[in-house]
Amino acid sequence: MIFFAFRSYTTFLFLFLTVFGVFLALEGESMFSVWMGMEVSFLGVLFLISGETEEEVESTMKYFIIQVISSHLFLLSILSIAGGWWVLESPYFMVVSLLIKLGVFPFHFWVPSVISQMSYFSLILISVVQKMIPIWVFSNLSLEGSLLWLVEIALILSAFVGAVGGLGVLHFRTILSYSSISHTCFMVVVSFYSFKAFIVYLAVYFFLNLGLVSSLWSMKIYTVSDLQKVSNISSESVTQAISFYGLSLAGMPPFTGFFLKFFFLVLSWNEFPLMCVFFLMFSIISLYYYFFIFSALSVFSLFGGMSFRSKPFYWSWTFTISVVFNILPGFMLFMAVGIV
Amino acid sequence: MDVIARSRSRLSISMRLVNLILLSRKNNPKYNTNSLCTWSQCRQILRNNQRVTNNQVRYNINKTPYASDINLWDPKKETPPHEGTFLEEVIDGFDILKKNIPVYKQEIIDKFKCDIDIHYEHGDYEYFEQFSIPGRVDKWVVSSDSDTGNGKSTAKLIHSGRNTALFKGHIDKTPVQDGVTERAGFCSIRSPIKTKSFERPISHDWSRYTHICLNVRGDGRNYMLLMHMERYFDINALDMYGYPLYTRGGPYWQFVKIPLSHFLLTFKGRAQTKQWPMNLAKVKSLCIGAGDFGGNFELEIDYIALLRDDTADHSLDFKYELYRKEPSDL
Repeated sequence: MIFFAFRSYTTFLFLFLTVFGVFLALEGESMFSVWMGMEVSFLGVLFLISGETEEEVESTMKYFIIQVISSHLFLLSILSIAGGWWVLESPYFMVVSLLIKLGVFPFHFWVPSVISQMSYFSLILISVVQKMIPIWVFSNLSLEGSLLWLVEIALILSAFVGAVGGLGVLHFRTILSYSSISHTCFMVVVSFYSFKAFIVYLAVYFFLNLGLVSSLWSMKIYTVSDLQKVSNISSESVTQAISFYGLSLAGMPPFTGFFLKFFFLVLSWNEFPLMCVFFLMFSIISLYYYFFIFSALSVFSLFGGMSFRSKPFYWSWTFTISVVFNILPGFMLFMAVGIV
Repeated sequence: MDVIARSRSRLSISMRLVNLILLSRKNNPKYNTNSLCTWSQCRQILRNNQRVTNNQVRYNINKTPYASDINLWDPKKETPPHEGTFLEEVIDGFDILKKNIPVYKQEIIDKFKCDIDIHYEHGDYEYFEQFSIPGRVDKWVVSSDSDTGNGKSTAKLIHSGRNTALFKGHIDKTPVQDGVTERAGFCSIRSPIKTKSFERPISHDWSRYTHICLNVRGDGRNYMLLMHMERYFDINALDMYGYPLYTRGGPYWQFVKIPLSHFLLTFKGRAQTKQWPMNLAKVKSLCIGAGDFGGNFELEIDYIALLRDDTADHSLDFKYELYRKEPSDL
């Protein structure tokens, strides 16, 4: 899909629209510009994610319906704030519309069914790029009182859903969709601290996700059964390199993903201690399916089950990128923060 | 001014002519004319609000509501039939809760146990359907074109008395004289839809298998194996992957083994130009269809199974070429 995405000039046009929409929303001075940027970015993403297969088109239609509903609710909230009607209800409308856009409980049902049928390139767009504007709005909302409680409860339950939903799933895109739900909760809480902190979190998450999906896409691995196609030793080395991403996203030290969890704890512990406890508990549950990614790719790709025979090492670009994304940035980020 | 007056008079004459034609009908019906239909296909609304085609009026054919493959949404049709009073339905609801809560509890326990076999080996197999098990035949749904008023074929699926299922019937290729239907003659049996607790439909996951195997005894005719895919919207709800089932006839059983990569994407039974591999994790149901021949037919089925055969040719690939059709190729 990524090859197709860069084949024609229209793809660049819609990529530009996507990025332009994000900048329009972030740099605009009014809520209308935020809404406009959201719509422009959504338009660009819509063209990029509508692929060739029936399933991709179906996912695009579902995504379109959900996002249009949430955009309408967002616009309603903006207009009611501007017009002075429903003064008490309009913040709730806005928060609900953002929760729908992000796929946070109880509006999370569309995320696995949409992402599990999309291409890996579309997965990156939905789970990373489309999160920026709603979370930017969240970071600028001064939530307090019952609204803050509502958001906290939604995030805690969403983290639970993200942790439990991925259990027993054999399709990598479905697992990554539940991983996206979990990480969205972390991102929203980090954005309450500051938007720059959220950008740091998003950037690290983006590179980890990008490395993982591009590696899986290059090997044409979509489910556990596709690992049976890995038949030669060089491919086994590649899948073992890809397995590092599983542990990284799980937050295991010394991988880069551990920095994400640590960063979240440092920023949020004082303000939201209860949420931190719940999130860490649920990330231990989600460790199961991240470890499943690791074991499936590193161990079970070897036909015949587990094998402890020493095998020759085969260098590949995928291995290099895996090391670069998973191990080196972790050390560098900790050094930048001043811990190592 | 003269030109405008003349054009206006021409218009008024043509309108008068149209009115004359319309008023010449005895019942003065309201016409539902569609530029794509011929006159015989145009539908009238009679005084009792029944819609019939002009052909039906002309030939005085049984004035039942027209049948076509374009089924517009009718709110009266969509209301599910009530089988009891409101109180009875509430009591039924509590029964459903009583039966399904333990099932739901077990599903949650299984989800947390995560005891899934992810190691696939050559020779793995699973029975999709075994008609020797009592009660399985009754779960399958039999349908024919006469159900929708599009034909006169009949079919049934019964116990053969030999622990197998017998799909038999009669295909009548005479189309219904309603001015819309052009072809007729189709019967099928469909497997029950897999559900979890509270009758929530889920799809079959066949991603670990490469072949579908059937033990059948046919009558020498060719049937069609169709796999309904799970789709969310009605625009592609009739996506089916099909492959013919060739039967030999005679008294001997026939073991049929078809690679899943050989199934062809069809929509409403019509093969599509743009092919794509089947998503084996989203199979809604399996259908065996009989059509394209007239007369009586019989197909005896013992079991349907799925098999993983890593040694077969193209077992993991898609048989058909994936190419993009450019407008200049048409």
